[in-house]
Amino acid sequence: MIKAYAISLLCCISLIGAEGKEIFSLYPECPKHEMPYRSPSARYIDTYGWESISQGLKNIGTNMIHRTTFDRISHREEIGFIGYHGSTQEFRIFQDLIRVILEEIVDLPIREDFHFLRLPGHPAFFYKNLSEYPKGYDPTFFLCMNYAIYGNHTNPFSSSYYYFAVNGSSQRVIYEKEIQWIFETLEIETDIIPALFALGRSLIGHENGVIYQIFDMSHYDPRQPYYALADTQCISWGYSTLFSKVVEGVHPTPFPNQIRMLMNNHATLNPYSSLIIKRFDKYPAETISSYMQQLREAIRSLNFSVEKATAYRSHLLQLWENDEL
Amino acid sequence: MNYKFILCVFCLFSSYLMAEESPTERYVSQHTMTDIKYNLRLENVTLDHKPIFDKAISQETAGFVGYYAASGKFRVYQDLIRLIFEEILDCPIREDFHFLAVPLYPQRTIKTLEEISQAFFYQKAHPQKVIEQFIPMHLSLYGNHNQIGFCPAKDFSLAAEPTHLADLYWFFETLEIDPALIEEAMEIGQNYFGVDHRILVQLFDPSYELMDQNSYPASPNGFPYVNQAVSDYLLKSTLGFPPQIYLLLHENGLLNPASTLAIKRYAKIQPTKLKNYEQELRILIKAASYNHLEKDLYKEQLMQAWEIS
Repeated sequence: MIKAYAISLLCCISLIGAEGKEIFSLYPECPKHEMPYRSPSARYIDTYGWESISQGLKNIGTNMIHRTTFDRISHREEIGFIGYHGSTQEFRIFQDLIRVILEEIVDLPIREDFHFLRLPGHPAFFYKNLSEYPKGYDPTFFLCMNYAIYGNHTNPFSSSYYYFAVNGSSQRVIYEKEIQWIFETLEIETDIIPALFALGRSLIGHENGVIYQIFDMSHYDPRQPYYALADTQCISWGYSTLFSKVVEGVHPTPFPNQIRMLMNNHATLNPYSSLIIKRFDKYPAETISSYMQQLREAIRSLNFSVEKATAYRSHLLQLWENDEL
Repeated sequence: MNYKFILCVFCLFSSYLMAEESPTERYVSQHTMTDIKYNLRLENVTLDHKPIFDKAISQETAGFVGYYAASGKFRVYQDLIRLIFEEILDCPIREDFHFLAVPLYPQRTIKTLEEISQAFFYQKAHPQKVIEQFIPMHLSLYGNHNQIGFCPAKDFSLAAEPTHLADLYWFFETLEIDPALIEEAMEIGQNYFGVDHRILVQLFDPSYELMDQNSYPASPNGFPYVNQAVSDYLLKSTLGFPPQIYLLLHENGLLNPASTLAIKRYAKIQPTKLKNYEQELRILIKAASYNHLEKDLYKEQLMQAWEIS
């Protein structure tokens, strides 16, 4: 009994003294960030109810067939989550070609959880933040998102779910034409572009589109508040308050409007930024891996100007490493 | 007196829990296996490899610190480093030690934890550039099953590309060994184990001292998560789990076979196949030509770094 008491006392002392061993002698003061937060999708579902969401989706010509996948995706919403964007497989091929060109030709590895939403380094994307952007809306400069995975379930023109379900997009962009700039920059023959897109189309299906789940993890730097990047790059259409305020758990829940994120080379087209962009689809891992491998082999076989690739690399690094927003 | 008694009972209960549950068991208790399966499915991860996972979890005993996982390329990478040490540098390496990276790689400039804090907080270094020097680890095999961050079970199942291989090319070039042998070695690995081969690396440090000096709790992009030693998370279950751990790779720490680091590797391989693969790889390296002067120079620098006279 005495022994047990002594052991427990020792445990007690060790636990009471459990302040932790510090490992950095130089560690900045980090303010404790607090923010009321609850998954926007959960709040949306609570507000509208499954019946209304299901009926709404039926009315716009789709159904709840993707619910299992979408439930799993929305389960991943955590503080830092910004919103969803649904788009086409054509957009995906455009993005993957950019990634592979950067990795194989420009020698810039791109992290797995980042995807280019526009052409990186393109001179058009020079507005560093929303305050620099002139008034008005031009879809070239913005990515539209829903707060909740079933957001705008009654409006096919603003619903990520709908665009995923029908492999559609609100933008009628011809990506084969759009990507030409990067080919010209690197002096790659542009005649090959249709064949590259055709290769991509032949390897992945087009029954459904893709859905992006976008996060701003600025707070990974413990000195930064939540949504530090989003507050300078995202506007919540219909609200004049900062994005971080709109997304707070205490705000009324229905999220009727869109989030619009400014596309620019310094922040949102920058893989060194705090943005995390997850892309989901319904294809098996083997299909995607084989598609990426073949795309990579096709890009590796292209002729390009080494001088131009070096210049483009320096240009991108200069843009990405300058984090003054 | 009553307060003390309650506290003691609580402590006894806590110490019982700590003694009984390994980090992964604790993680599973916290999240449930159903939730883990449900969430991993989104990333195309099924638990087909559960027998291997269970075997590894049963080995989470004293000194266990965490997991790294990658495709089978990482096995070949580690084996090539070992074989060069044994066959060319004439440095036998103990069986339970495997190199997590090539020692003396000049691009790996961060040597102390203090330099990490300097890089992130005072020099404004870009996280991606800093973490290229480290490898991630998690205390639990299923860590980050439902959120952003390194998840060993996922990277094992999806046979993720290893975090770095560039230093191996540097090693070959330094010793003037034909770098084409790396591709040849990778092909040998593929021939024996197939293209979807993967490896689970389980790390141990009996005193935790080495780990505390060479790793830190981190956010997924590398920023220090908290100013606290990794061992605190292993010893005090009440702290929960940090998002992940980053391992600092340098010659006086985890890249020193004389250190207390021990590594167990898990994969689904028949022992005879493994033996034949190892033999074939050894023959490949034994037959490789290299520059004797460069070899001596590298070895000398290494011995100095390891402080072996």
